[in-house]
Amino acid sequence: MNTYLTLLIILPVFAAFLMYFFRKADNWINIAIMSFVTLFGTVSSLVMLFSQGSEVVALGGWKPPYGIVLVGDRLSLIFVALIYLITYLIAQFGGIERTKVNDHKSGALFMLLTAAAAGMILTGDLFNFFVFMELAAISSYVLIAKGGCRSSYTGALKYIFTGGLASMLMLLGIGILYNTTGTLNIAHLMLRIGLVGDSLRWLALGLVLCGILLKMEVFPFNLWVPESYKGAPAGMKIVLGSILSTVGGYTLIRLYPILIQNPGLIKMLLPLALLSLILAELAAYREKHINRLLGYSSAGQMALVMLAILFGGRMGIYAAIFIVIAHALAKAVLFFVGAHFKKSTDSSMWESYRGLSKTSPIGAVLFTVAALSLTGIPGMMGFWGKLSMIGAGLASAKYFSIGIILIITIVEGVYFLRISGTLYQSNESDVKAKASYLLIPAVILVLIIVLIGFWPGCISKIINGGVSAAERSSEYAKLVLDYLL
Amino acid sequence: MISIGTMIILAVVLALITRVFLMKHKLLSWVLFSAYTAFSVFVLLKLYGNWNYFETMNLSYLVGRINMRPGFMNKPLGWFFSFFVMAMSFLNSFFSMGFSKSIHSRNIVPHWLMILAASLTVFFTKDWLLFIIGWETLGWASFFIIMGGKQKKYKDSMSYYFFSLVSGMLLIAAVWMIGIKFRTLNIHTTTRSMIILAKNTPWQAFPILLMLTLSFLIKSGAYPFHIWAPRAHKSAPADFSPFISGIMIKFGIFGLLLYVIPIVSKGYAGYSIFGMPVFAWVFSWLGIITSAIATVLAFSENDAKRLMAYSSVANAGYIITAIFLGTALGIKGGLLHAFNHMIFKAVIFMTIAAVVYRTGETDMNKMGGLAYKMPITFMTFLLGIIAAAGIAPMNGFVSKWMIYQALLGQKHYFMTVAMFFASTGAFLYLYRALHAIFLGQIREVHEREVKEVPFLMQIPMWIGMILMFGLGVFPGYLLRPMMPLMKTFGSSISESLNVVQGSVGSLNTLFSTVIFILGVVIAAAIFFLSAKTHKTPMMDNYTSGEDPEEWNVTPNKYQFSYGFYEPITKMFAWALKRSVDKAYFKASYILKIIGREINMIFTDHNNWGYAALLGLLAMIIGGLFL
Repeated sequence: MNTYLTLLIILPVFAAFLMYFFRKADNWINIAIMSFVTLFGTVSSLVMLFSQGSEVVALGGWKPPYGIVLVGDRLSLIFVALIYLITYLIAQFGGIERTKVNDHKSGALFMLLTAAAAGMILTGDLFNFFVFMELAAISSYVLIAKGGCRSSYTGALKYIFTGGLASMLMLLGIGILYNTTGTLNIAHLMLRIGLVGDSLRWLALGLVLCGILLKMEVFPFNLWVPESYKGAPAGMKIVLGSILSTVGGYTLIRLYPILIQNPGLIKMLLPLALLSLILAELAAYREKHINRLLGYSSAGQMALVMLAILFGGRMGIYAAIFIVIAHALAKAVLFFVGAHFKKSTDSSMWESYRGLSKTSPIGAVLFTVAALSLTGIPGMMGFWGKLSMIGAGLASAKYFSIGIILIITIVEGVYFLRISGTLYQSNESDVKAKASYLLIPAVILVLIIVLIGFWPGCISKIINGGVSAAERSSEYAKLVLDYLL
Repeated sequence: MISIGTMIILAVVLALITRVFLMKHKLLSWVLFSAYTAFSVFVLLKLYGNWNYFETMNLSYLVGRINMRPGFMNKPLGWFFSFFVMAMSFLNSFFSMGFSKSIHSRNIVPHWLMILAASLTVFFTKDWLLFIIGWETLGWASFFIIMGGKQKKYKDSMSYYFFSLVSGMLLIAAVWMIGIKFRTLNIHTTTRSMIILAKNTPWQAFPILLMLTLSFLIKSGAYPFHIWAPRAHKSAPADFSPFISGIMIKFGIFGLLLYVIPIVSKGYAGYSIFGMPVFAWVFSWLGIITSAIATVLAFSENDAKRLMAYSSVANAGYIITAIFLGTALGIKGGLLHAFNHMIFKAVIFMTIAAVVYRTGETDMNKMGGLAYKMPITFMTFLLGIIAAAGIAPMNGFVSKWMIYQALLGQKHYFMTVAMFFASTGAFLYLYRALHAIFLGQIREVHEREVKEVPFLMQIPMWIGMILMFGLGVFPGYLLRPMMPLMKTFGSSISESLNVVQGSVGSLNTLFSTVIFILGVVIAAAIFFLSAKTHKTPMMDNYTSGEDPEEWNVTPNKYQFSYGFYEPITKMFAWALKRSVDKAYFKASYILKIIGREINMIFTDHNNWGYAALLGLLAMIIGGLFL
């Protein structure tokens, strides 16, 4: 079984190299390679997840505190399965022109990005995490720029600026941590972080968090969001919204044991997350461009995740995991359906989607379900996340934050149902549905959303396992460091 | 025995079937809807009396640390509300079958079935989790029905959805506070715990109760949340308005009676005023204020549906006042009025729907004289507004009488006077609606085209007339089955068929009916004995000898009830100037402006420096002060 964990990172990289040899062949070969690799990743990570096994691979045989380890525990496997599922859907159903990730150049970059995302989740080493993060960042710069319109370049450029700054700060933070604790292994770090003095620890952690907050699109690291989401090709939008932000959310959940040892840091991050939530959702309330709107909404949802983690406790982590998953699924649906709408109407302004429910009834239903799920309406998956999150906040007596979250949820509900309402208004237009194959992955994801919405019990065992793995530093440390005994 | 859970799942499945397969067969889906409601009425009738019935679902949810198995419980309160929901929907389905015009949206049946499933969930659930799920489902399902795929109706439906979301959010927060405090989400056990909590530490119970009350008042359309009511009623499909007015407004009343009233009336130990807990006193007055304001607003209303919507808000106000009194009589009066209002307001809205069906109008200034063309509709409307105005012998009279008795019994004279004002006003504006729609001269267009609605649509009207009159003469037919319900509120009076007990005296409805019939006989005698009627052309008698041509008035433009209550409207102009609507619009406008400014932060990179500074400031301030 151990080899699977390595394969999850190696195979996509291998596929990326392989694509070079098929550069002159038809695109379907590239699609076949990518689909096979990602499907393999999905299935194997799901198998590992359901067999409830946790495993640690020490690369090169170096013992954990010294070498790099890959950790597939009950938390990280959930997220690996999630991102592999979404990359599979992008690769298989993304379509060639629309998502622009399937020709051999961008396909290779997409595979590299997949490997990097899986690596960020699986790695148990902070510096290795940084390396994978840079890998993902560089591939995403190029992929955003491949959107081919003006805002693709500005979006990519903005992402490079903010991303470069954030990763430099993160590197600085990692350096400080290494200097003071003498280790880069996350599990080891969890045990030794208490040895560092307060102010230095906060500085180092704050700097490390910069990189994660950039991926999570938290203000003020999310200033690239509107332009990049607008300019990126459709496949890359899904990657930005459902994969990279998911990885960011996962990392913050993973670092939770370190975070709660620093109540001062939590105090500082709480207003930042609240500010991020308010700004993102109010910006979305006003936004007319569908992709920018969805980008703002991603930022808002990730701020919710951050708040749930900061509320802490079992319920907070549960809520965070649930919201991250629900957001990844729903956002992928919205981008798939959005790409389908854009293809049909040739416009990205949601006001021009009036009456699309006639042309594309399934698309309208899918959009509505995903939007309601993000709002947290019962019957969809997002409800359970929001419910647990409000419970976590009230349990930790953060009444002010909860008040803001409730108000912002109303804003969110209004702007999402406004779009759905527009879809259902009658309008005499002769729009024809194009690129309907984009709805297939959306249907699959919506079925998952609704299934979990009505029966959260079907995954609550897995999520609770993830919560236990995330909450207790001792469990993670034992898992990783016992290996050397 | 069919379980309640099965009924709910059946409704959801039927909703899916009608949404996916039967979009093109409107009539068939209405027949399915009708069959479902009839079947539910049957199932519910079998459940009556079986008050120990409960069922647990084979699912378990982990909510926070509370591991729960959701389930349903048959309690008299929930039974009565769900019975009325199903029975009224059943009646309405006949109406809708006839109504199926081409403009009639196809989306109504599936969403209505979702609403029925949600309402069964809300009324029978034994825990708060399912309550929230049902409560929030009502919001979006109604949104799609009210919008009906029309752009111009979007804003009205959104205002409903907005208030629904606000209500849902308040509910979630309150429920979590209950759950965290008592480690369970069971409604009935937490009621007992809340009573103890409210007795010992009222300040801990206060925020929970306040949030719950506000959440429920929003759904009842109480002031200052009343603005969704006229808009939603106006925009809703004509055959859905009876449901909104009859049932949707009552969800809030149900919530109050389920949780807030028992706690406030039994457990509250804080300050009291006029022998009432301050909390209950404030909301009692809010009910009065709601009905007074709705009455004033209804005076100046020209749209039949909006006028009736304000009337519904006013009636919700009476009910809120009555139930917050907390006495057995008050709760009985409030409940009886809630059920009576379900019947007569649903019937009134059906008649308006019938008028819309034939004329396509809801603007009262474009109607008139329809009584000759639609006699059954006219009769139904007439009996309906008699009931709504609270005049004997219709059913509205009995329940209003009980509410007055409850107010006087507690010596709330101010409230009684204020409510009397609202009630008199109700008579005035209802009469105006009657006059504008059915009396006076008929317009030429309507003279030619309008006729009585088909028989299928008359069925619910006939039944409604019988119910209104029957329950007015023999309120015991409703009060007697309600005895187990009243027992849960601590009243064990055994009811007789036609004598209603008040606090000051008792009322024999049969006697008042006899008086009324005598009055009708005498009036008829005078009518037949006096001089014969003769028809005059419209312009002869309406304009007092002036030449209408000079004023550019033609018979078609002339509507007798135009500006009917102008003096009264002028009298209250100062109040109407500061409307709550404007405040909401202003708030929404400000939100948009703020959104635009925030957009600028993100899109204009000249502002990035400020943005970074803002984030840094937030961190520093948070680190220092939070």
